[in-house]
Amino acid sequence: MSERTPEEEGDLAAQIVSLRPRLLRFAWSLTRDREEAEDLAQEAIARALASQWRFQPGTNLKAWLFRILRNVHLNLLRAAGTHPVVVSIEELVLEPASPHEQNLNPVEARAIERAELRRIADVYRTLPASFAVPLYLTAVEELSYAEAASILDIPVGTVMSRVYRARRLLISRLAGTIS
Amino acid sequence: MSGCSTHREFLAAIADGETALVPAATLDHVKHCDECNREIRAHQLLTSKLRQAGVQLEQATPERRLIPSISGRLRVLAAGAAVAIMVAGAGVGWLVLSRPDPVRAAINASSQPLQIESTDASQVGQWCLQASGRTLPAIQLDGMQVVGARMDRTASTDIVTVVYTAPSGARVAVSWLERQTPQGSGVEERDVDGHQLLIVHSEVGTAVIIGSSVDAMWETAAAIESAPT
Repeated sequence: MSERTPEEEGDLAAQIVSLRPRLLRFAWSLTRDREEAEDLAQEAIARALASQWRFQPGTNLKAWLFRILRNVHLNLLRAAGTHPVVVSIEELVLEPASPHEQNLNPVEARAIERAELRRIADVYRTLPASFAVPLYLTAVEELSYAEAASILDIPVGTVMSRVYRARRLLISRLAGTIS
Repeated sequence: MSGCSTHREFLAAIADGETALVPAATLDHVKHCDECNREIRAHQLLTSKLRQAGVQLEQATPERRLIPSISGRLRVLAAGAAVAIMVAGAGVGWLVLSRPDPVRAAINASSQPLQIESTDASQVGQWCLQASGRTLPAIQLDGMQVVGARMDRTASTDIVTVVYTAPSGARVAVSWLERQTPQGSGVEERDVDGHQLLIVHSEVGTAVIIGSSVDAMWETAAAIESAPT
């Protein structure tokens, strides 16, 4: 007989704790600092456990936890006197894809096919956080654009734009077309 | 196939199955466009590899290892009060390093070597776009010549610094901070650690101006304030 998972047990607290590695990775993508990420993840778990009654069964637990963690992060930034990144609905107008940008060229296509995971991770870490975080949430955590928008408190169109730009930057850097 | 440029920004959303967010015209275009389909497949492959990379995405970068850890300091604190005083000092330093004031980070960036050296403004602009993912505001600086740029990432913001020379030979560095919370508009004069600087809050963004000539700095500030949005 196989062991039952926390989901099968219906134990919300166990499910929350089991998502700690995911929270840690999301926290790292926000802070780029291991120690800060551990503190953030810990605080988010503590708050989630203390307010389990707020979670609506049937909704995405991971997205709920990520939203808590993001709020903790914003509060820490504010307390430290650091202003969080602000985005607006006008952003898509102000920051469109470059009209000079070309379709994927054969060098870039080959670079993705041949890229080792280590190289992809190295290049990913060079992306600006404002682009890397939406990409992380949607590509790695498999959250929908709407869920990512809710977590980051930005318009869904901005998530779409940033995910696109993040991937294009990643592809260009993998292909070595940008120094 | 022609006309791809108007649809390109939606290709990642299509690759991710978020077609409800994509205009019908784009979906129609993609049905018949080999180039766009190739790019969609590339996005999907990249996503698949990012997922496989998983935990590797968060591994420490070399520069991180230079910063002492909190837990390390806490262990030292437990060792004794005398050591604790030293560690507290180190803690303050760590906080300054890990959550830098964007203005101080801009001052630091302005004194670092350029990562691209070029007098071609469009080439520098393109480099900035590629390095930061941001389109910098177009500012009209009469008689001033761009000489290059650099890109710096800090815990609080990404900073793109563009350096110019004035006809007088004065050097002016304009550091664009990534979307800071608006703090009103206008120009703020500050003296930070002996550096005289101007901070411009304008509709096109927030910039820190540092230079060897106050006149050139103010001319630059005026140009940023009047830049078209």
